[in-house]
Amino acid sequence: MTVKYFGDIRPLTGVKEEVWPASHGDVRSLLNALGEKHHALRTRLFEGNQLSSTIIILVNGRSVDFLEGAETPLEPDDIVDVFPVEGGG
Amino acid sequence: MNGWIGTVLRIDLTTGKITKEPLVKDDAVLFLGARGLATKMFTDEVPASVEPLSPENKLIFAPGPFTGTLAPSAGRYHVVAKSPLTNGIAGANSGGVFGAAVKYAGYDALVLEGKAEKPVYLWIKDGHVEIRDASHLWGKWVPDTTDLVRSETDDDASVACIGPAGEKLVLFASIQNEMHRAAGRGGVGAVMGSKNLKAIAVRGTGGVRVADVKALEAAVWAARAKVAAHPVAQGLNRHGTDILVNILNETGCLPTRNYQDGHFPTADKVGGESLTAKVLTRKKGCFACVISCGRVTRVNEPKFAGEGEGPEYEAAWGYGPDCGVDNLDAVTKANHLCNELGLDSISAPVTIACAIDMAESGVLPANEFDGLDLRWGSGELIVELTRRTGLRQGIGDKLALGSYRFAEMYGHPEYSMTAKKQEIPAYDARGIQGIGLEYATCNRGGCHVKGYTIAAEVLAANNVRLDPREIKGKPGLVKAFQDMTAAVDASGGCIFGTFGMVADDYAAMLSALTGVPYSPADYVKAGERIWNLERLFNLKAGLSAKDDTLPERMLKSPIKTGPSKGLVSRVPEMLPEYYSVRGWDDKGVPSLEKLLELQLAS
Repeated sequence: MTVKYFGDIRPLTGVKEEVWPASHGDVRSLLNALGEKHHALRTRLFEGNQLSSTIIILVNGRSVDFLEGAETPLEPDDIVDVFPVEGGG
Repeated sequence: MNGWIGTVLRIDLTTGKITKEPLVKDDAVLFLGARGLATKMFTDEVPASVEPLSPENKLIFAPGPFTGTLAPSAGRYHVVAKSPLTNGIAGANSGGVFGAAVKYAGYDALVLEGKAEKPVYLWIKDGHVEIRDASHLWGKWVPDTTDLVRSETDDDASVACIGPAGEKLVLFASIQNEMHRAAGRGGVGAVMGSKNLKAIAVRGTGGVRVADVKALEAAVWAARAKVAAHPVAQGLNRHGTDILVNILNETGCLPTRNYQDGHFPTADKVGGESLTAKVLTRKKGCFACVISCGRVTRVNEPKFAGEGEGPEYEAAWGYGPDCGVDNLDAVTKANHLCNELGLDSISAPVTIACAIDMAESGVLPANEFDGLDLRWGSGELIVELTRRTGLRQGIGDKLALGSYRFAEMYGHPEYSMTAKKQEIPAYDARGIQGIGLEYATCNRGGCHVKGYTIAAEVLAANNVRLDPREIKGKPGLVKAFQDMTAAVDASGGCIFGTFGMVADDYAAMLSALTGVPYSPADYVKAGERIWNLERLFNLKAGLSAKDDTLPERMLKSPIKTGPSKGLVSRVPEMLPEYYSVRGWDDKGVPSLEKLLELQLAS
């Protein structure tokens, strides 16, 4: 799995993207694991139990809002994008 | 008057006659100002059959009631004329300082008529108005023109001018103010050039009266707080509009190589994160703006060296992925050139992309290549073609007609990615259904900004998250964005203020400013009124339902690669419902009932 970071999320991880070795069950467990690795990212990912309203998570280019939200299952060769809600024009 | 000044300045360039007329208050109340007032005046005075580049066309510059006040991110002005590109109504919006200067000089609108015998410029200092010889300026690019005019008038004057592109009647020539801000779309710069009008310099020492100062202050501070807390507004401050490249690409909706595809693997190299890291000098804002999305940029690489502002997302996309280019220096240089020559930075690259596509596909004969290697992916080429287009040299003389007329010349109009002959911007309509409907129905032709459903379909702004692939509900969504945007434009607001402010905020500020009570519904209704007025003009000018469509490529050729592979635009399925929610008949003609409701008929 590849995880990519954009906009003001990038400084929180220090990288544009990383290969994530293990396959994670779903988006929620992946984000929890990412938050463990990148502490600065932790507070951006969830608001209580819900995905934060300040981020957009894409799985293979599709927002999880139109898949199964935080419970969207993940496959080993998926691409997961973490975008801040940021920008228009 | 409060909010409005109460005076319209009319200049007949043929006779040199200068008149000041009272603003018609009823028009101001119903149409607000800027886009609304200018469109009302234009459609009252100019027959829809007018030739756009003839002296009979008029060019109206108008700020809004908010312009020049503390209303946040609301210091803009609008330019209205008949468009030589679409042959429908042109309405181009710009920021900077010019609009505020016009208000402070004492005017709600500048109406420019006729044609000067020789190049002239206008010098407006409060009540003093002069038409001055501009022969020594003709041929000069925007930066030199601006500097020279200021040196001859006032160092603090705000200057709106055309570059060589407007002089030479490039059909998508812009009007530039403060050099780098553009009333960009629809060829308003060509209309200005057709009048032999090179520049307008304005200096004002007046102010704007406020009906209820305390109420306005309260409304302004409340509105400012909302914008300051809004993630999109703050994101625009951090990265500018170019931050959009990556999210569009990752969703597979970044039009690539003239809409041949929707995904460009190296897009990140021309995105906002890269712009910030590589070419950004500092941020910049317009008059009374609390966002400051402007980017001052410099390229050091000798081949593309220069300084200026931008690229915005549309220009970075147009010169980048749409031309197959991933060189940020080249893209930045091409955008700088658009400002310097006075060219619309969407129509220019999309026209260039069309020519490259035709060359690569073999439908543009090799002897028409003007000695250039017309191919995807060349930074040098996009810069050189921009230069030749702005100066109407070589192949640029034909590119100056825009992609539709260019492609049609060779028998292949289907290569032109336009709606109503205006180049379509940077969001793939095949993957994002609502914005496709906006492109197809916008009164000024292929345009995103007058109905920016991207906010809801891609950006999760205001935590509204609509499925871009869905068509259900999109007609109503597009109408809502179009109406609200028209009201914001007409009141002098920048649409980026809507990342934070809603109709309630705008209505509260407008009521306190003008003393005229506007409910939020009244405010949006003014926008709907303006939309319908523009539509009526376009229908009289000969546009019709058959023009409310997209190129075949977007309707029939699916995106080839990436996450949105296989999708096409479903505009034809949405159009009947769009007409219906608008209160129009099945040919897209506003019903009498709707016109009566909007006070556009009696």
